[in-house]
Amino acid sequence: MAIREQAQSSAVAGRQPAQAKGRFRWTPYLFILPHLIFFVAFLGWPLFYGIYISLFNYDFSFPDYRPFVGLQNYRNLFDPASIQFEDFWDSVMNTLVFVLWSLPPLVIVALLLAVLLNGNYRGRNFFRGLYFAPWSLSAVVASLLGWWVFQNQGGLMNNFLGSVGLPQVSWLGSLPWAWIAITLVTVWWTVGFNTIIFLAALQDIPAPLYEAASIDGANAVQKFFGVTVPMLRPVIIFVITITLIASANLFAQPLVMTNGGPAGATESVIMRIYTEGFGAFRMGSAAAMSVLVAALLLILTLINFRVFGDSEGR
Amino acid sequence: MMRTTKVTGLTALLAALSLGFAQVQCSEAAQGAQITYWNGFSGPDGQFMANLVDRFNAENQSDVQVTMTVQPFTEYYNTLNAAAASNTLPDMLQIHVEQIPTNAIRSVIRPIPEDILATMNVDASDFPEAIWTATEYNGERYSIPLDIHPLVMWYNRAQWEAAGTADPAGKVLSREEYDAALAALQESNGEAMAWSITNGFPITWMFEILLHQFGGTWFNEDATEATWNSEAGVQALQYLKDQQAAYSQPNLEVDAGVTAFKQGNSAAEWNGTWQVSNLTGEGFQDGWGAPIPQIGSQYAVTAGSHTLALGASSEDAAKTAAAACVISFISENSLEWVQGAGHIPARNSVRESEEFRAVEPQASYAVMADSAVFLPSVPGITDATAQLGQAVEAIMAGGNTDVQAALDEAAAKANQALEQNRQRYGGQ
Repeated sequence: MAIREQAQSSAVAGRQPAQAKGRFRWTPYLFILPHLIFFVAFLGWPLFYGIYISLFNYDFSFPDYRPFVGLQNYRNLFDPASIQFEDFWDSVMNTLVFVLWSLPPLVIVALLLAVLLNGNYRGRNFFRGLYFAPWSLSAVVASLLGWWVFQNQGGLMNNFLGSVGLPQVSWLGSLPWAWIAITLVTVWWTVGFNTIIFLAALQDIPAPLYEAASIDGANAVQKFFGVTVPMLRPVIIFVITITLIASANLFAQPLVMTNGGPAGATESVIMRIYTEGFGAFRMGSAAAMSVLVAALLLILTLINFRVFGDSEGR
Repeated sequence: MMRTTKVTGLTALLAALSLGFAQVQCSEAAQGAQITYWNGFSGPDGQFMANLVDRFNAENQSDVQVTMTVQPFTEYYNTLNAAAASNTLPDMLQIHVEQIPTNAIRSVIRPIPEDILATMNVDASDFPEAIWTATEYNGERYSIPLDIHPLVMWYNRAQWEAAGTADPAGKVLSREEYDAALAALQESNGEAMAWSITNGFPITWMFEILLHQFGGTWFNEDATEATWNSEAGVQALQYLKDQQAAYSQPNLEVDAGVTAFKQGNSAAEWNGTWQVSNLTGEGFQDGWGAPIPQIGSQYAVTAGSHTLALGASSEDAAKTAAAACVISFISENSLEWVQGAGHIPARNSVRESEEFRAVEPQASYAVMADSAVFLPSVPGITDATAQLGQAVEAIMAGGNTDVQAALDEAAAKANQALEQNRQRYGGQ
């Protein structure tokens, strides 16, 4: 709370004299300009263009036939008789399943790791580096390693299960194992990123809060739930949001590890959009799917803010 | 001892040089042209293609220089389409036979001009009719087929011998013979599978082969309707389902059969010709290749083919002549290509040559070339077959059990895709 008051008072102190009011000032716009340029070039324009081509039977390398179809591409997504309907909604459901699988471990494991890495002990930096290291791999490399671990015939995991006398599992060829394998690889690969964010936030929690809790006789678990979690609330919401979006963008792991199998059960919505756009050259339809998915993600993010957001009565 | 080896080595080298440096003469128009060539051979096969290109560069007397670039297959056709949009296509390129109509109409490749074709040493009579017509589109010749690649029955020689079954090399087994072999392998093979059947790639290809063997087809005569939901289709899919239950582990993912085979966990694996260096010889000592057996009432194998075509970005006369010269050269020397890459040569003259008969195991399964079936020459045809793949995989994974209904549904969706493509690409 102290921080917020400080921020407010400094804002008051920094306010310009009244005479500047009403005059247009370039400075703030110049400050945001570098970002604005990249935002417009790589986010704003593509988003607008995506919406535009979703209204056509668009095919980027076949300009001879590119009729305007209005909302037909969107209608197809809600018409059970269309080619797109079943595949699209199946892939949306698959993606939601993955979000449910991956979100809890990616947030909870990252939080616990951050707490452990925040301790004061020798070799702390070594472990920080160790847990963050997989994140520096490219998606395909991480997924290929995952394939070698989980592949059915003599993969590392089945070898291990066999050697301790446990039954072997068709990790990539059956459910729910395919999701478990993809989730484990994803957690191993990306948990370091969330951990770093939590770690930075942990270091911002004022030490006196812990001291006060100790004086009141709180043990480590009580301190975690009574001090750490409430103080991290805004960061937790942030991490949930970016993880939600990252998980919804699932692509490389199933592409490399299962190729969407068994029988399309791990085909994510991004894979579907890719197949629609670049496999069948139906880019208008693929753009419509993208717009719809973006809208769905926006709704999910809003729900996230509602549910986990402020209970401070703002 | 040392000395003799050296001397023999030198003689051999000299012999190879004098034999190898057959002079290659391109047409007058090609003189001095520098051309580019793209293909997708990013695997071990790429080296054999690179060797052929090097040889051409060294041996041609017309100062033609070819620069070959390998684009990974996963993105190959997207790369080509993007290059077409920006007019940066190579002068010649490799294209799979089923992609010819789609990329012809999308102006990625262009027809080989009549006068240029006349200068090339290729003739319809030197190719099986099916592949010769499949490389034409709309009455024009777009490419020259280099090879034919159906699936091969890769089998574990040691296990087949231990089971007391006759070596199938070079023989098309009948259904009775194959069933008997599988039963014997099941008996003698212990934990290992007699036949690995996946629920991902190449299962749809296996279905397509059996569909044709049972007398079915992908599409009707003018490729406006899918026909795989016929009696033959149901028989084919039911057969695979039954064999999977009898001889294979369930739930094998994409290409898991290959890994199983390499570890001795499967006695038979139907997979592509390109697996040759992976599943035989240095890759796997016990592995060998034989033709796909005849399960249905007639013998047929659906196949792919690597073909060479002209890029549509430029129509420069000298480069066109040079590209035609290179295509002729690679086609004539396709023996070297298939030796490394495992495919069956498309040219009858190469396939029937003494040299090829000595190339094993390719020669052992080359008989399939005469029964190879290709997709009809229609733009966007793979959009329709993609629907079939989904249905077959769903049945094999056990998510769907009604074979007829699954094939019907896939056919209905494919018909929609065909209809949409007719609108997009025009009548044909």
